[in-house]
Amino acid sequence: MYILEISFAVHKRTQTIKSMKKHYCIFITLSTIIFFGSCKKDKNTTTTPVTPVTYTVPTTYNFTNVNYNNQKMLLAMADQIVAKVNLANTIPNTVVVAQTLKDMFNNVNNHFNDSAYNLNTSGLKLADYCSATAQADLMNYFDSIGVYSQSTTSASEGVAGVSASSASPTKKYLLSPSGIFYSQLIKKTIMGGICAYEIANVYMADSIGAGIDNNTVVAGSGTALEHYWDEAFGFFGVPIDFPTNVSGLKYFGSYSNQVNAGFSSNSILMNAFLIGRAAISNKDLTTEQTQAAIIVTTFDQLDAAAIVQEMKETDENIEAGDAVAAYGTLSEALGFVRSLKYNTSATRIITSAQIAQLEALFDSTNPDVPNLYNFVNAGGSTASEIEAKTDAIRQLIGHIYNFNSTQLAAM
Amino acid sequence: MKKRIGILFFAGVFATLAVVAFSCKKTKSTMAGGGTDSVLINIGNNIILPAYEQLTSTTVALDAAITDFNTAPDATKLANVQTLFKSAYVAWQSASEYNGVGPAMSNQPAFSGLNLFPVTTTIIDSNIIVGNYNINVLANATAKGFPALDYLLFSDGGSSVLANYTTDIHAANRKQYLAAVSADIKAEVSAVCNAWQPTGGNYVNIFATNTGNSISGSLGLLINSLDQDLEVLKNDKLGIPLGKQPPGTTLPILPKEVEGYYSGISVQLALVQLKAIQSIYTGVITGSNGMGLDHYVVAVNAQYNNGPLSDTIKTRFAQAVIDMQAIPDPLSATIQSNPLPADNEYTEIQRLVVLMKTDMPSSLGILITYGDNDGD
Repeated sequence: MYILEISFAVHKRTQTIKSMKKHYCIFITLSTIIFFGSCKKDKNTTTTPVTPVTYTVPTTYNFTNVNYNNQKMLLAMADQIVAKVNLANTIPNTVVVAQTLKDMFNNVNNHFNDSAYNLNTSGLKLADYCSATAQADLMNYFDSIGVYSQSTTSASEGVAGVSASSASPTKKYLLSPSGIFYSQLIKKTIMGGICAYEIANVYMADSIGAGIDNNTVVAGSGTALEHYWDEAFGFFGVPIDFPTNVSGLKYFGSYSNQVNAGFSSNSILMNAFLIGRAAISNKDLTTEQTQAAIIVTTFDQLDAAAIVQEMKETDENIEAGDAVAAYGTLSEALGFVRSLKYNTSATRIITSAQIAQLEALFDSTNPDVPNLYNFVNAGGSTASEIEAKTDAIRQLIGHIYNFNSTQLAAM
Repeated sequence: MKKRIGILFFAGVFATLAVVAFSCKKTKSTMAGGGTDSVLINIGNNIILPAYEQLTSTTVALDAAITDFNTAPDATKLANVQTLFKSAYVAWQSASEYNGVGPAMSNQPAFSGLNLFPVTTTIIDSNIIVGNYNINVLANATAKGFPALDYLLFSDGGSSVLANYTTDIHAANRKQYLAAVSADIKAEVSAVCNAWQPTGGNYVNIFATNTGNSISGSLGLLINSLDQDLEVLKNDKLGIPLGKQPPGTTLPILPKEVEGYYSGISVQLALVQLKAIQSIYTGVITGSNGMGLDHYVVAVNAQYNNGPLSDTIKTRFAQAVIDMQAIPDPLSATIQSNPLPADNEYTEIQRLVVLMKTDMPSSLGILITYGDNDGD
């Protein structure tokens, strides 16, 4: 993976793409190396030479008329919902009212702390950007937080409550009676059911499809096609000079960076967003579609890689003797597993049957509503017995997504 | 799809060129892979093996003394056990650096589980009363290993330590628990040590020949393991007790979170650990200057603030040792009465972590693969 890191460092130099009518030659020029891609002999152009259109792919997301303020505001709303949920992770307990969370999700009754964004009066609401399945799940999770945050005891099997991590005693976790850490499950559902869903299932599918206008330029937001592409980028959660700059990463931006050593998601995604946006602005819609397909597939793989990453963190928690933190990382993983279902793309790699298989590895007797106390079983299992379970999940993901053992280890 | 493949193909071509260029700079180093590596040979044979041998001999001696103590506990035998415990705990500090490498990494139960602190005394007490336990289940993770011995051998429980093993109504069960914890330590240490020995699993040879800078190569494993250990020193041994963990927060001082709380030797232990990490970097072990990680850093001519990176790292290690020596034991009392020296050392170790976890690995092309585990 180190090798790919090097290649990317250079890869970010200016890429020049030439486009010709009816066929494409892509030249990516770096130093003295030129790559010729998919150049076909075109029998029809021999008599009518075409002047090639040359365009440059910038190294950062600096294009004319980029505007994804709505996504910044939506992610700010998501941050505030998560922060509200996190209030329950305190001793003594803080009750979090489910209706408040639902109101925030629908942006009614002015619950947001407005800063520069004026979120309450923005007219935006996360509910409009959420997969229907994810939305149903989120409403259930909000109800659960509303009920469990009323507990005044510490958590144990069958009893909701707040317990502290043993390794980091300042970290507190409100756990459900079955050991689910809802604050992370909610955060991961927002990632899968809103961020990844919007990018892969909405923008890269419908919103950039044929018939979307790419000629009329609106000042400040470009053409409709450009604007949809930019909004998709806005849901990624990275700065414009990612991955050179990895500060301030949010949601899948953060996860891409965490699993990057495993499959170079940083450069794959950022290059695809950059090339695709440049292609749109230069009416090169074939290249745009190719990049869109890369983004859709990579978000599918990224979610799977995030599950593997959570297995690594679970192992670290188990080896630190920290069962409470392990419930937290297992809940994160559960959120990513359920997020696989929100992805309705035809190119999704994992099948529904395989998702069911994964869920059964969390709790074979209750795959739909797993009891994580069964998974960890602190009183009866050694660390190696628990790690055998995390490894089964890791191996199944590797098998389905074709990640080899070196990749799995680096995620 | 062709275009995508093309781009990746191109990336591959360039990567190959980049690697060739990279290797050319260091034709004398074997970091590019293949053969053996003199740095790894030195670290394996002259630093790691002696560290595990010392840990083995001290834990064997400790276990024998505990067996003897349990037959007829008296003050002399208790003092002997306490002394041998300190020697073994000190020896651990020079071996924990390799918890993420080879035998210790694959050891089950988790080898790092021998030093999970703070100990949960309520679990130990209830295990002793019940008298029926498996110390290797997860629920007992903080009721075993060196921290458990620290508690069992130094906490007077309101009367005296000796009374706990003689007149206390749970004396028999407590002796049994003491023996079980010690036997577990001895068994796990000897298994790992044996796996490294040329006469045993000979991992020392695998270590020396697993060259290159991939994440599964010895250098990648060693640096990741070393950095994790350094972060244990920064976060667990200093940061949490000082109320500085997670960073940027101001929390109450937590004296009971220190390592070796009951024996009161926290700084002594931390100093040995720090020096052990330093010796892997410098290659210097009592009197002789062999090749350490510094050899690689010098070979790639890594720079830091217009000077050699290696010089900066060595300077910071030396300063961290001086600052550590300025903290009086017991640490749990010092951080309450005069936290400044420990604060200084925490800052100093923070600097070292940046150099060892960011600057050094990136100059050597090593990826840090362990997580922050921050819940995001």
